[in-house]
Amino acid sequence: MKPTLGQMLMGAASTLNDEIAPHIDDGAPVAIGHVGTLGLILACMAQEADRAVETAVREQDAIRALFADAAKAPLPRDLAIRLKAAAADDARPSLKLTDLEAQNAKLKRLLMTLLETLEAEHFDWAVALEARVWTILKTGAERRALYLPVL
Amino acid sequence: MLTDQDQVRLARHLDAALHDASQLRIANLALLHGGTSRNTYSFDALYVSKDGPVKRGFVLRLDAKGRFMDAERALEYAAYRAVQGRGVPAPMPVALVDDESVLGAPFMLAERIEDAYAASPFRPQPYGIYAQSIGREFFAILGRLARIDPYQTEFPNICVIPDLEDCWSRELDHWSRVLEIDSLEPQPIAEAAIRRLRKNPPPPPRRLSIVHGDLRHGNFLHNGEGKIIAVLDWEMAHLGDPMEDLAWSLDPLWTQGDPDLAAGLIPRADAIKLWETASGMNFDPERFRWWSLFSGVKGLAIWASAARQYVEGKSKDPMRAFSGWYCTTRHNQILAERLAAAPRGGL
Repeated sequence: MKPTLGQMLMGAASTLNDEIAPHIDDGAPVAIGHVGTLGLILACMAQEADRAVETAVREQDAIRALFADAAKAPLPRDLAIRLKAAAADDARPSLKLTDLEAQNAKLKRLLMTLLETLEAEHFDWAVALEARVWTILKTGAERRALYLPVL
Repeated sequence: MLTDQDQVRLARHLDAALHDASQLRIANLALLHGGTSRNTYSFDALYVSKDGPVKRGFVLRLDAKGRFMDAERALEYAAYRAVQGRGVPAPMPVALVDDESVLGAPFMLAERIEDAYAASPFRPQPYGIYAQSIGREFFAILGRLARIDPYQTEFPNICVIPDLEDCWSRELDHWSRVLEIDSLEPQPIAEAAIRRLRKNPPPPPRRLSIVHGDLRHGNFLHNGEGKIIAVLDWEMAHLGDPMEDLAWSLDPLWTQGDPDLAAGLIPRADAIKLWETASGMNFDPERFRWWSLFSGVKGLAIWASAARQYVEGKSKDPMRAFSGWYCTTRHNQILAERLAAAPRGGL
């Protein structure tokens, strides 16, 4: 079995910290600082490598499901049409992370418009939809949470 | 890195600026880590004074070529001067030089703080057994800064004097603009926070204070034995509500995972009490609630700028990549948790 991406990245972070950093001259504070930061970046990458695609895909699914329901609410016609179209457009031409993140960005722009529209409404349906937006945003933030290791 | 010719011109300039110096030459020049807004160098000036040979340490803060930061440089210099002798330790300023012919860009010189250590806010327990003493001193310094009467300093001559009622909108307008210009991706959480902040403005402070703008642990030097010896990075200093600095210093980003520990150092209630005693002001929960949400927005704007500079190749400093990723992720998490739990439309 080969090492996972996470194992290799975390291993690289440990090697940088334990075996390379101590040998950098004290007179090179920039190099010492950079090596410490690179160790933290590698440790964050180790956490992200395995989950990034799943995070993006699950977020897309949740946003599209919300759009499908929101499109049925008495929202401005133009917005409702855009929501319906975005909800239906669930094709994934690629699972490359850059492509998925570009799709997420597009969906989030529409989500921002929806949220701002909902904030101006005081009906129960708007309150409920707004709460769902916050659940999606909060869940997305939690799924992307990074923990700094003790290197 | 400064060339040999740069060093000769710098020596000539410093020789003239110090009055009591002759035959000055530069030695032990080293680029320092951090100071992301401009390059920071340490060097020794070796010269002859009327009392004999002198070796004196300096720090040089040099603007990036083609990216001069006149306002920030002047503010930082004024801040160093303003806090001297007022219980807020800072490097002693020596010269502010706008003349580009010396080093190709404007710069500022200050005395080097000797035997000093900096700590990363992203390392666990950066002050070890001295966390308590550093934490107590940090929040007292924060309070003493708030106590300074800005009209007894040169600050009002070089920066905007906001009306008390406008402290919040001035800062929010500024950082909203930065976020809008520098964001590389949609910011639904920050944008929602901005709308809530505009809808629920805070009460004004009773008077203006000097606000550091980035006063957190990691932005000061300590002596390795529990004493803070210099507060650094004043380029975002301005006049405003002192609650702004307190909220930023208490932001969950700096708590190292323990929300009850202010800056990851001392109990939050102790920190606020120390700040009140040193500032002579009362902690105002209503204003603090606003400024603490604002801190998340400001953070996201700063991290967006860092990310953009890294992505566009304007900086290769890995700290910009790290803060553009980790700090963005953390601040989005902090703000999303807070806004999802807040009353609808409220703080």
